[in-house]
Amino acid sequence: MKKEEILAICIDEIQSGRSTIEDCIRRYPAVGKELRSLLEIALCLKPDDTVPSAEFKERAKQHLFDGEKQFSPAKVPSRIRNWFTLTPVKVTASVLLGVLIFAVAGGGTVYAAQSSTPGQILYPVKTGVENIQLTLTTSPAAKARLYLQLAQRRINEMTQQTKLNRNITSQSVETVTSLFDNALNELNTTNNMQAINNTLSYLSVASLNEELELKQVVSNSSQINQPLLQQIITEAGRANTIAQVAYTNHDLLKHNLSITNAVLDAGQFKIEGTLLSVQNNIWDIGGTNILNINYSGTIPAVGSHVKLTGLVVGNNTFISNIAVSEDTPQVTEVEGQFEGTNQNGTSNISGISVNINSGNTAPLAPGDSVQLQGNTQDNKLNVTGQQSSTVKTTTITGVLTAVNLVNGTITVQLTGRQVKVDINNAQIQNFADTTTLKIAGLKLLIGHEIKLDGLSKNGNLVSASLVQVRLVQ
Amino acid sequence: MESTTPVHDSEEYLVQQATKRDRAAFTVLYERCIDRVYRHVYYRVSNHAEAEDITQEAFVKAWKAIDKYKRTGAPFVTWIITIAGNLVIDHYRREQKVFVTDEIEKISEKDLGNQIPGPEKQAEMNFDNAMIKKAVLKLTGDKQKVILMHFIDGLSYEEIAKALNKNEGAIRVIQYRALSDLRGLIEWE
Repeated sequence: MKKEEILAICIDEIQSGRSTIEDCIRRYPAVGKELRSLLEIALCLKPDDTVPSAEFKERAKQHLFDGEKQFSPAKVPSRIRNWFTLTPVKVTASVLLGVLIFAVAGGGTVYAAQSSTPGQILYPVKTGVENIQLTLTTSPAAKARLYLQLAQRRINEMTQQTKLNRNITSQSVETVTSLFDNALNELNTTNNMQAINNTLSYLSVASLNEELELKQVVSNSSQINQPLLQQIITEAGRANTIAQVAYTNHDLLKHNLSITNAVLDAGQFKIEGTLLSVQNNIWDIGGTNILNINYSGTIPAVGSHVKLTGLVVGNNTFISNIAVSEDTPQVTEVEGQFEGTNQNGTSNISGISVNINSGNTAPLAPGDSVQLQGNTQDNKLNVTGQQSSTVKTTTITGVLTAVNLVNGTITVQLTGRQVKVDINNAQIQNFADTTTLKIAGLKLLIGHEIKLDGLSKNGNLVSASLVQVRLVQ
Repeated sequence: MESTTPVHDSEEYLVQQATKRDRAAFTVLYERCIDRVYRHVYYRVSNHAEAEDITQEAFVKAWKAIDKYKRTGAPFVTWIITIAGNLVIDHYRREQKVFVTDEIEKISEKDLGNQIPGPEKQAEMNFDNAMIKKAVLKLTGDKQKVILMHFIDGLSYEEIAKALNKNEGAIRVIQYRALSDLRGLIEWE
């Protein structure tokens, strides 16, 4: 009997419970080794344990015949018709009329307009179709996703214009800003947690991608374009910050954030130390008080060693992640942006007042990114390790999931997505003592947090210039 | 007592009526197929919001094209799944700019070092389903279709053969080759 016949028989018998893999191997010993490996893979092939929600099924049923209600398909070019069927819709007569006008104008026009850029004759057709698409999209998550895709399209246009030495306008920048903000606003109108997370996950990676792609062209752009592109780079960075924090703390979305808000630039922080007290919304970590905490998860026990990641916006602190360590080293660490010295002499790091024992730190200037490590005595941080940088680079922190020694790449999980990063030219460093490590050493840290600094894009691959890890003591 | 499906409730009758643009018949078909179509799409996009949009669009498209439906002997749901599958491909084309990899990292033996389990351990190895799913989505053409139709959509070899206009023997050969490719993609040996 042929191998494929044996395989098919065995799959059927195992699926119906009449045989086991071992039974099959015994019955066909000549092909046993290969059969085992193929059967093991086959048995892992199963649908996800998921069913569509009753609400969706009903909604979809209501719109089954929408396409037919709108117009006679035979008279309209197919490329136009596709726009009608994109999403569940409650289409108003006026919108339909508008679409029909487009249809009469010709599907070829709309198709050709897709590659147009601002200033070209067909560009209004392109944006017009996009507006119709927005009107026809009703689910908040789908609408948010569409806003983000349009933002990406606008940014691609800017990149294209810049490469062709054409000027971009402040209006284009404002459009991108609005698209990002609209997406965030849409997410604030739904309670579908899964949909929110999927969209934030997309935003996190898309905004990082956009930031890096714009950085590739900004230095060679004209004096007119440079500040405008720089503004989008900054705003994409803020969108990325929002996505990363809101992914695990949806409360952040309720605060009507805008990517124009400069507070987002400095607010990301990390603090590690012993949780000394929790009173109302104030947590004392190694002598540093974190105020107005927004966190709906379980609060760790006082006395445990914690590592908090979050964002300070105005008076509010949003915790995005808490890691609790069973061992309780005396070390305290603070990471964020130095914003200056407060009137009471404490240092303002990302909006958190840190009482640093003066004399132990190298001079810092407002805007510096800083990592401080030390021990706490009398509520003051005696700094024993310090790293600071005046250059604002693109960084990500995620969980290391794979190391490829052959290609020199690692994969990092970021807001639920896998991002592959080339670290062939990166310095790999232990944070504690800045000693250099080899890439093979990273294999021991799979599953642990890793920070990648100095990110840039090379073709489709993201490269890092610095990899920081924390070796287990 | 043996149960039988009344003629007016049979898929054949409902499809026949639907092709005459009978909305009620198509609605019944929708109710019977929606779970399987959704499950197929979700397997491929792993995102509920996107799976909902694509599933719904597939049915809207199906209704618009119902008069072109030709009975092959395969269940009606395979036709809708084919439409949905094409929409999934369009969906990925639209989103290809995003550099999210979500792809299989081929890990060589050298990379794995001492982590390679012995043969007896391999027998007990519990494959990472997510990794297998990603590998399935890397298969191309009929290989992916056959794997999805058999293991995800639950179709028999006979039904798959009819849907793809091939004989059952050919489907079993494609299945064998597809599983071999999957093994290569996962590189677990």
